[in-house]
Amino acid sequence: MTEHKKNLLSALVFFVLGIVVIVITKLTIHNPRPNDIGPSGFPIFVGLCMMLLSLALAVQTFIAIKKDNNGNAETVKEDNIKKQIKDTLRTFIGALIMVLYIFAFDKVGYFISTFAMMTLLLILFKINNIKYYLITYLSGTVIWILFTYLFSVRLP
Amino acid sequence: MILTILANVFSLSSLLWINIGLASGIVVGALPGLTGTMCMALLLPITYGLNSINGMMLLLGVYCGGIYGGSIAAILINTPGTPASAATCLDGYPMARKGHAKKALDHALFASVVGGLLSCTVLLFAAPAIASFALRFGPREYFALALFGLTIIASVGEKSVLKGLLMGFLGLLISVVGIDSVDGIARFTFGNVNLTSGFKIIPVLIGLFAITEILTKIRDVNKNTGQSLEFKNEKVSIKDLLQHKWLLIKSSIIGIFVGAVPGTGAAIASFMAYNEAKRTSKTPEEFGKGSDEGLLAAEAANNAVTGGALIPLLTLSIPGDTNTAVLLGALTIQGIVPGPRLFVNQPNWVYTIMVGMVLINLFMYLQGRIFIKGFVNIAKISVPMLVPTLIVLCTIGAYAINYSLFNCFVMLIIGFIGYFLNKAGFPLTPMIIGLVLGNLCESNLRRSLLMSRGNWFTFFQSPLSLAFILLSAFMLFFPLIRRQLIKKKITNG
Repeated sequence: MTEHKKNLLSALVFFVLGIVVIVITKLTIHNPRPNDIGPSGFPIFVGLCMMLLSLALAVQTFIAIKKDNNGNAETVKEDNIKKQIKDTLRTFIGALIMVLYIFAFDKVGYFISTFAMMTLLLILFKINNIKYYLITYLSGTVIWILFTYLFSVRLP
Repeated sequence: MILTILANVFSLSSLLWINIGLASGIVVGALPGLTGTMCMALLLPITYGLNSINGMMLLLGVYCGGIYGGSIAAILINTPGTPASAATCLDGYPMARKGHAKKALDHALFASVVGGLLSCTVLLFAAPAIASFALRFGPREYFALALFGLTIIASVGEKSVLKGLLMGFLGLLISVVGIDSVDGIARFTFGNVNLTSGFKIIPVLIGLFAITEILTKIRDVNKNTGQSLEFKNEKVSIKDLLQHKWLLIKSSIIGIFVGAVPGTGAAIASFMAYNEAKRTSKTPEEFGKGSDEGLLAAEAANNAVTGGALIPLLTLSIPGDTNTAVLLGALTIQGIVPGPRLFVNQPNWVYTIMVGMVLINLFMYLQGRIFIKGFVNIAKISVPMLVPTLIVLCTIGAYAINYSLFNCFVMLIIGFIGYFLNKAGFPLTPMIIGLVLGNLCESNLRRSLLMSRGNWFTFFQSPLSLAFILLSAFMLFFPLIRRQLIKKKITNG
């Protein structure tokens, strides 16, 4: 995705967020006193500012697109696209492993969930060297000892 | 009082936490791409179980150690461990390539310690004076001050002021979640009891700084870092280094001044000092080819920022950069509110922290001298081994707050949002500034309005409040003015 597309998409997201904030505030927060901004004043102000700033960002991006169309257009090299897809996919899988780890953390306990997460991530990074696996498991064990005995944190 | 301060600073536990913090900061700072801020965020949960002095000693150790640690990777593998050491690469790496890696590391250590010690001295004398002045503040002055703190967002917005401001408002939005502090009305809780006290600052900080970096590491796992260089044992005497004493003092002053100005940071300070050293050097042609002066200037300035940045934090409760924003978060957790009242109510605590900073810099020198060879190997640790360990630390950090998975999910969600926004060019620091200053800003705004019966002009009737509002307006438009000036300079050739 080009820089301009990213800017436009994020401007849209912030604009929608601003509207949502204002609507929720109006529907759920009521001011106890008249002539006072009350608990709803600040969130409405934040929502309005978000909308205005995202509009400004969109306008700024449109001006930049117009300038680029007159001069050098923003392009993405074909070779980079494949690499970008690969990197994004790896990040997505990594994020998914992290979500699963947190779900499993409380259910199956620290050691099983941690070692499983470590193994999956090292497989994702295409690590074949057993030394890497052993050192990572060792670090997981050291962390458990440190938190359990030194900082008195009860881990599942 | 002096005896109490010394007893606090030289207690066994305090010395232990200083050294743990320093070692952690140096190790993480030396790892390319990982910053001291991330380490501070990870160690925040540990400070829960410590008293406020030990907790602060640990985090300040990480702060100072992190900036120095960044120079190790900058010198040895030409990859700045932290943004603060980007200027160190310019002469540190060429010096190492010439076979003087040990000399470069010794120079960096000495300059860092000199910069750090000088900044602590300034902190010790300047902070109480500023604090006594700030004692006149009431709700409207505090609101104006918080507003001024929030406009720093425009300066830390890096390339785009708009994006910085949007992130700042996102932080403000997160700060309003929970029971409102004036009327006790629930806002954006959606009936979830976990949200009634608002978002806990630790999972947000870990998510924003650690999870975002972890995801970036996962994406760039196959990217090669620079070539590591051989480490030869060379002796560098302090006498040789003291030949550059004026350069070190000048660079430190630049660092202290830049650090004390909110919204700047160590990276700007080191480049400013580097340019000044080059401008006044007898051998400017040596800069960029392994110049002693270039390296010393950059390192003295970036570590001098540490003491400078604590001045607005401790006296006015304004975090000038990401590190001090995390420190402010840590203080909030401990129930300590920085600001002028702190100097009146808890002088022992404040001076213990300040004297502790001196000790931190002295221990940094000792650790640097003794463990330099070990620290050198850190820069070679592989990312695939590091990522799983960091995830475990983040998860435990968020989980240990109240043994609930809710905070772990908050951490992950904030981390994912931070990653995507950062990828789209949105800076992360403004969000934290918005989050930590949001409540101060809103509660004092509402108190001022209640006291003045809804009169908005009350903020312009106090000279201090008016001064801060004018300063805020200047800070808001400063990036635009600066950009126009640069454009003018370029067009004028």
